[in-house]
Amino acid sequence: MNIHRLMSAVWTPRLAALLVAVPVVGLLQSCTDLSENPTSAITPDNFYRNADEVLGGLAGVYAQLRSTTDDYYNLSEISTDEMIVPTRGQDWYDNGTWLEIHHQTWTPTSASGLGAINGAWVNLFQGVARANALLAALPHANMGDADKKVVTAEARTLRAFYYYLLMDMFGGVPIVTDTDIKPRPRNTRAEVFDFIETELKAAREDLPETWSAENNGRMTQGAVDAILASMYLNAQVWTGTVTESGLQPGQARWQDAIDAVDRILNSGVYSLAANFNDNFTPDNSNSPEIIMQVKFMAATGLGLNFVMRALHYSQFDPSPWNGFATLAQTYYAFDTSDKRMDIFLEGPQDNVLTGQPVNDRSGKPLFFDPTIKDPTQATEGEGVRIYKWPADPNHVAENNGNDYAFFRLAEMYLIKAEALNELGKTAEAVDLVNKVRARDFSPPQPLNAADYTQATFRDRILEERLFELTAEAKRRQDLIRHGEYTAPFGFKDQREPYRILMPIPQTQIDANPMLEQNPGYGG
Amino acid sequence: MSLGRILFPALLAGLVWAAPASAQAPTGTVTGRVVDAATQQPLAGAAVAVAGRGGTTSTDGRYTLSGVAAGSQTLRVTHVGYGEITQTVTVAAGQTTTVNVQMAQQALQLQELVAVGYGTQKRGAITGAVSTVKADEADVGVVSDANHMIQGRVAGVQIVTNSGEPGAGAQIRIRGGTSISASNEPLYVIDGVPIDNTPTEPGGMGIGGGAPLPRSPLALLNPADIQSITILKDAAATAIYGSRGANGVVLIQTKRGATGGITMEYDGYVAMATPARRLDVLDGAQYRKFVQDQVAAGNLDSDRLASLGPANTNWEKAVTRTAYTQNHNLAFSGGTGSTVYRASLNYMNQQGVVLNNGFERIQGRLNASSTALSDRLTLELNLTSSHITNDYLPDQNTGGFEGGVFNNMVVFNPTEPVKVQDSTTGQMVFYEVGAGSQSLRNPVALTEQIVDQGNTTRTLGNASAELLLVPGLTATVNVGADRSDGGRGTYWPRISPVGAQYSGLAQQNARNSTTLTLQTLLTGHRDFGVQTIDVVGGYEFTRFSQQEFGSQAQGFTTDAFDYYNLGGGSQLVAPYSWRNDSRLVSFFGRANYNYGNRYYLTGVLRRDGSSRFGAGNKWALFPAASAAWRISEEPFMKRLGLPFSDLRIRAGYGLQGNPGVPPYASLIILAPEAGARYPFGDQITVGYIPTQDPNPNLKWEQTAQFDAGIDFGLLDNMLSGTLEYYVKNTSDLLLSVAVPQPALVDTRLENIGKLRNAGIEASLDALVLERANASATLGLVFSADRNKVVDLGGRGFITTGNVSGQGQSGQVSERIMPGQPLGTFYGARFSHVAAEANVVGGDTIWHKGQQLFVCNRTDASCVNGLTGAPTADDYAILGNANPDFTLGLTGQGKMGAFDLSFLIRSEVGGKVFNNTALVYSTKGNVLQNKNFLVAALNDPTGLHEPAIFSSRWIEDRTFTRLQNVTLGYSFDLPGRASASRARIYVSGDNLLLLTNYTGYDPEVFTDAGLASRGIEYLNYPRPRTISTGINLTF
Repeated sequence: MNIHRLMSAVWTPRLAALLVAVPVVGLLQSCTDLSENPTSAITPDNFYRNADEVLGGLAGVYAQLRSTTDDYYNLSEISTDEMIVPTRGQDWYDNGTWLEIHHQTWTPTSASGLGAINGAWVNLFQGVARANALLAALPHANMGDADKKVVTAEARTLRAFYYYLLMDMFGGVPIVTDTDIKPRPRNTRAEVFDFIETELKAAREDLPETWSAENNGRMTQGAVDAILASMYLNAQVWTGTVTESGLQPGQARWQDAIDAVDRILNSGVYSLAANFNDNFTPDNSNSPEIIMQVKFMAATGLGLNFVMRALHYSQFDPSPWNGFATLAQTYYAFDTSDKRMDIFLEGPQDNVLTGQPVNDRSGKPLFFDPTIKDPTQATEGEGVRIYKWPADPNHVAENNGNDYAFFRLAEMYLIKAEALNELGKTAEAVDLVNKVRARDFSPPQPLNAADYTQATFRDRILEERLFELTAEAKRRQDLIRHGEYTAPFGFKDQREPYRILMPIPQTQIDANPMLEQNPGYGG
Repeated sequence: MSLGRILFPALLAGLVWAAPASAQAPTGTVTGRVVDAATQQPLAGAAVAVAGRGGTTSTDGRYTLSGVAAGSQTLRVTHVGYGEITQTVTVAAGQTTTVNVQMAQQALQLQELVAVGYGTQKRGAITGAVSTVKADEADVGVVSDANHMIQGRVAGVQIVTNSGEPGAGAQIRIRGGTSISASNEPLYVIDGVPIDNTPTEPGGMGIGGGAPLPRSPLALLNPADIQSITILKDAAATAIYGSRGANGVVLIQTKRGATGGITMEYDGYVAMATPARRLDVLDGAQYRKFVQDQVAAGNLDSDRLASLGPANTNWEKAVTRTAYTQNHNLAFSGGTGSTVYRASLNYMNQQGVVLNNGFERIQGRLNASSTALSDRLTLELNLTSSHITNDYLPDQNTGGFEGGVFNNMVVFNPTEPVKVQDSTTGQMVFYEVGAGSQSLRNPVALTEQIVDQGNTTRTLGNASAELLLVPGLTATVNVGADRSDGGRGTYWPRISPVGAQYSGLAQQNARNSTTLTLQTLLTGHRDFGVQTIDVVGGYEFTRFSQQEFGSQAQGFTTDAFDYYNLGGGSQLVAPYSWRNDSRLVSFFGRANYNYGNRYYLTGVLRRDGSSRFGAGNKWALFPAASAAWRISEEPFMKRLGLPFSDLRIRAGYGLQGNPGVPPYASLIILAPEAGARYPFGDQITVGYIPTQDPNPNLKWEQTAQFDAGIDFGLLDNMLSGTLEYYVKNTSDLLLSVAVPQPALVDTRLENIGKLRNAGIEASLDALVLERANASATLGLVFSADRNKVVDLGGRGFITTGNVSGQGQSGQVSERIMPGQPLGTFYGARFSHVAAEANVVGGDTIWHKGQQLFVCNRTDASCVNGLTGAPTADDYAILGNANPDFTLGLTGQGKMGAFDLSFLIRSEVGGKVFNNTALVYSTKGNVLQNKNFLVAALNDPTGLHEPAIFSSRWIEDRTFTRLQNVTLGYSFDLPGRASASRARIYVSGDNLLLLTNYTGYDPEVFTDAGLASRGIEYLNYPRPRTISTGINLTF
C-alpha cells in the first residue's frame, strides 16, 4: 500500500475544504449557547411539585435539628457547671477552645467565637433558611390543601424553634421569612420573642395532636405548647434588655407558662414514663413522656454520638474520644439515693457494650475519679462521665439510635411548678415537683411544702431541674434566669454580666456589616 | 485493557502510513564525515538523510548510508545548534559516494522557533515573557512527569512536589500564584490542545484523617516523548489563552520523526531509592530507658515498666525500605519526503520508599504527519494512551491523629514487635494493641492490610489539517479529544483495626472525563520589504464532561474479596453519582508587526464565553499589547562596537482570567444530601435541600499584568540572559465567603478582594568552555516574588492553615490578611519553658515544664508579659512561607565521550510550620504508651504539657538541594555498521539537602485549607535515588 498514491487520490482541495468546514459549521451553531442544565442536581423551579417532593423538602428542615446537639448543645452545657472538657495531656487542647467556653472568656474572634459560637449561629440560621425555601415553594405545590396546611404549620414551627434557640443564644437576630441573601439589621430580642410566639400560635391551629407511629417525631400541638411554655418561663430574660452591666428584665409571663403547660397536661396525650431511664434508652421513641425530640437512628450519619464525647477510648467500639466530664461539685450535689444519679459513670469502668473491665492507655484498670485536679493538665481518668443516653447495641459505628428530647413532660411539671412558685403558690408547686420525684426514690422522698418559702423553693427548683435535666441543654438558660450564670463555679471565676449573651461571631459581622455586636464585646 | 485496543491499531496504522515507497531500483552508498566548521572537530549525532535513507553520525562524525536510490539526490544534515545543510549528490548504482560536510554553529536562540500558543515565533521576535526548557537536558534521573523537568530550570516557576511519594502531585505557581481559592495551576497545552488537568481518579477515604492527596494527572505523558516545554508567563504571552491564562501556560511539544531512514531508540534505567532523611523516633531501647528514667524521677508509676513490651523496634525503619524503579522506553521514528512519524512505548514501575505502594505506567504514543497537494496540505495526528496504576499508601496528609501509617510510625510503642505468634494457630501475625477496632495501629500492618488503588486509562489525541489557501495564508483545523477513565478501590479488611469496626469496608468509585476541543485558525504572513506582519485569528470550542459513581459496602464475612465484590457486604451504604457538563467558547486574534528586525509590536484579543459563570457574566474580553526594540540591530549600536551580539528591551500589558469555578456554581442547586435525611418514625426519608446559594454575578478572576524585560547576548552569545520585572494585580478574586444569614449554605463563591504579585526574574546562560574536545555550559535562574493580599472585601482576615493532629481541632496556623502575603503564620509567640512553677496566692499560674508565651494583657493569667494560656489577644504574625528568592543552577559538560550535568536548587528565606514536631515532640505520649520524636528527649517541656501551636514550631525554610547529577559515557556499538550508538549513564537525584529544617523536608505540601502554604505534617519521606541506564540508537 502506498500512502502517497492513496492520499493524492483521495485528497482534493474540495475535500480538504469540506473537512475544515463541516466541524466548523456544526460547532458554530451551538457556540454561543452557554446556559447550564444540571443533570445530577435540580433547581427549585422544578422541585417541590407534589406531596412526595414536599416531604423530601420537609425532611431537610427537620434534619437540621440534628445539628442542635452539636454547637448549640455544647455551648449550653460546657459554659455551665454541668460539663467541662479538661485538657488531657495531648488530648483536647484544641486551641484552648473547650476551657475558654467553660471559663466564659470567649470573644468574637477567639477560638470558640470563630468555632462553636459561629457554628451555632450558622446551623440554626440554616434551619431557618431551609424552612423559608420550603415555605416559599409550597404555594405552588400540587397536593391536597389539608396536607399542605399541615406541612406549612410544621415548617413554621420548626422555623420558630430555630429562632427560639437563636434568641436564647444571641438575643435579637434578623427576622427573615423570604429567601433573599442580603445584609439585614438585627431585630430586638423582644421582637424575635413576639415573632416566635405569633408564629407558634398560628401554626398550632393546623398541627395534629399526635402522629401515627410511622410519623413519630413530627411537630404536634404539644411541641408548640412546650416551646411556648419554655418561652414564657424565660420571658423576663428574653423580652428584657441586655447591657454591658447586665440584664434589665422584661415582663414576666408566669400565668401564660402555666396555661401552656396545662394545655399539654389536659391533652391526655402525654404521661410520665415509669422509669426515668425510659426517656433515654435506644428505644426511647416509645416513652409517653417525650413531647418534642430530635430523631436519631443507628445508621451512618443519622445517629446520636454522646457516648463518643464522654466515654473513655476503651469503653465503646469505635474508640470514643474521652473528653466531656462533669465537675465534682455538680456530681456531689446529687442525693446518693436518687436514681437519677445513675447517669454518671464513676470508679472502676467496664466496656459499655461487653461489660468487661477495661484498662486505660497505660495499661492500668480504668478508674473515673470525680476530682479534676487541674483542668489544663488532667489525666485520662479524671472527671465523672455522663452516660444518660446508654449505648445502642445496634449502633452503626458511632451512630446510636437514642432520640434526644428537647422537651419532655417532667420538665413541663417543673416549669409549671416554677411559675406557680413565682405567683406565690409554693405548696402547689411542691406537689408538682413531687410528682416528678416519685419514680426516682425508693422509698419515696417527697419534698415537704412546709420546709420551703417562695425564695428557698426557687433555689430548690433550680436544683431539681439540675437533677432531672442534667445534660439536656437547659442549664445555661436556668442559670441565666436565676442570675447565676456568670457567678464563679469550679475552676471558673466571676465573669462580666453581659456574657449572658454570646458575641456575634466576627465571621458573621464581616458577612453582614449591618449586624451590631452585642454589648460588652467591643464594636 | 482498553489501552491495547486503542494502541495496537493506532501503531499499525502509523506503520502503514509510514511505509516508504519502495521500488526495486538500482542503489548506491553514500558515506562521509561531519565536522564543526570552526573547530574541525567531528560532530556526533548529526542526522543525515538522503532519498529516504537516513542515520546519525558516530562519535568520530562518520556516517554510511547504503541502499540509496541512484541518481541526483538531496542530502540533508541537521544537528542541534547548527544550521541545516542541504546539498545535491549524485549517487551511482553500486558505487560509494563520499560527501564530507562542515556545519556552522548558529545563533541558536534567536532563530529557534518557539511555540507561543496557536503558532510559533522565532525567539528573536517574541515580545512577551517566554521561557523554554530543552527536554533532553531536563529528562535526567527518575522523572515521572513533565513538572519535574521544569523545576529549577525556569525563572519564576516554583514547583513544590507534594511529597516523596511516587507519582506525587505538585503545587505549581508561575509568578507567585494569583488566586486564593481558585486553582493556581497553569494551563497545560499538549501539541496545541489545552488539556483538563483535574484529577482523573476519584478521591480516596482517609483513615482517621484526610485521604492521600491525588497524584499528578500529568503523568499520562512520558517525559521521554517530550521535545520541548515552553512556559508563557506574562499577559502578552498568555492573553491568547484568555480566561485560562492567568496562572501561566505550559506548552508541551512532543518529539516528531525526521525525514530519513528508520531510527530506533531504546532507553532504559533501573533506580534504587532510600529515604533521604529521618524524623528519628525512639527505638525500643531508647523508649525503655526513658520510662526507667521517668520512674526513677518519680514522674511515672513503677508499674509502667511492666507494661513495656519485649521488643526493640524502630518503626520508622520498619515501614521504610530500599525501593526500586525500572523504566523502559522504546521508540522508532523516520519518514520519507512527505511523511514523518514517531511511535514510542513506555513502561515505568516505581516503588515507594515506604512499604507497599508505588506507581506503574504503560504508555504508548504515536504521531505522524504527512503533506499532500504539493505540500499545500499538512495532516497531523497525535495519539497518546496511557494506563496508570497508583497504589496509594494509607497515609494521612492532614486532619486527625488516629490511624495513618506515618502517625503510627511515630507513636506506636517501640517496645512491641512487628509480628507475634498467634497462640491458637501458631502462625506469625501482626502485633496489635488489642483485638478488634483500635485507634493505635501497627503501621507495618497498615501498609500491608489496607488496600487503596487507583487506576487511570487516558487517551489523548488530536488530528489537524493545515491548508495553504494562498501564499501567506493558511487555514488550520485541529480536533482534539481527551478521555480518561479513572477508578479507585479501597478495602479496609476485618483483620485490620481500621476495618474491624465495620467488619470490613469496601468502596469502589469510578470517574470518567471527556474533553472535546475544536480549533479553527487562519494564519497569515506578509512581507512588505523591511516590514512583516503575522496574524492569526481563530475560534475554539471546548466541551467538558465529567461523571462519577461510587458505592460502599460494610459487614463482610471474609477478607477474600478486597474491594472487588461489594455484594459480599451485609450492609450497603447509599451509593452516589453525579455528572457535570460545561462549555467554553473563544474567539481570538493576534497580530505581530516587525519593522526591520528592530521594532516589534504584538496585539492580542480574546473573547471567552464560559457556561460556568453567572447569567450576566458569561462573556469577557482579554486584550494584551506588547512591544520590543532590538537595540543591537540599530546601526548606531553596530557603530559603537559594543560586545552585544543581541540586546533587546520589551514591555507588555494585558488581562488574563482564571476560570477556577466548578460547573453550576452560580445556580441554586437542590440535592438529596446525606445530611438532609431524617427518620420519621424509624423510616429514613430522603431530604432534598439546597446545597448551594445562588450567585448570578459570579465571574472570572481577572489579572492585569505588566511586564518589562531585557534580553541580551554578549560575545557571540557566549553569555546570554534575560532580566524581567512584572506586576500582577488580580481583582474579582474568587473567594468562598460567609454570606449574611439566614442562608441555605453558610458560604458562597463570590468575586471579592484583590491580590498583588510583583517580582524580578533573571536567567543567565554561559558557554564557559569551548575546546576541541570539550565544552561546558552553565545556566542560572533567579526569581523573587512578592505577594500581597490587598483586599478581602472589607474583611479583616480569613483564617486558614488548619493544624493537624491530636488536640488540634479548630486550631489554625495562618491568616489571610490585607497587607500581608499569602501563607502568613499567625499565633502565639513562644518565650521559653518554665523552669519553675509560678504560684501566686495559692493559685498555680503555671507549672514547671509548662510552655510560656508572650502576652500583654492585664488579667491574672498574664504575669510580667508571660502566660501559660495564650489567648487570641496575644497572637501576632510569625513570618510567612514565601521564599525571599529562589535559585537554580544547571551545568552541562562534555569531554570526549563523557558528559556530565547537574542541577542545584536553592530557596532562601521564608518559614515552614513543622506540624509534625508540634504534635509529636510531646513526651506526655508516654502516659498513653505512645512514642514521640527523639528531639523531645532533651527539651524541658513537662510530661503533662499539651501541644500548643506557637512560634516555637515555625522554622526557617531556606534550603539548597543537589537535585540531580548525571554522568554519561557514549560509544559506538561494536560489530555494527555506523550510526549505532550507545550511552550509559549513572544519575543521582536529591543527593544532598542543606537546610536547618529539622523535619523530613522543608519543600513539601500539606493540604491545610484555603491557600495554605508552608505546612509540613507527616509527609511521605522524599527519596534519595541512584539510577543507571542505557540509551541505544540504531
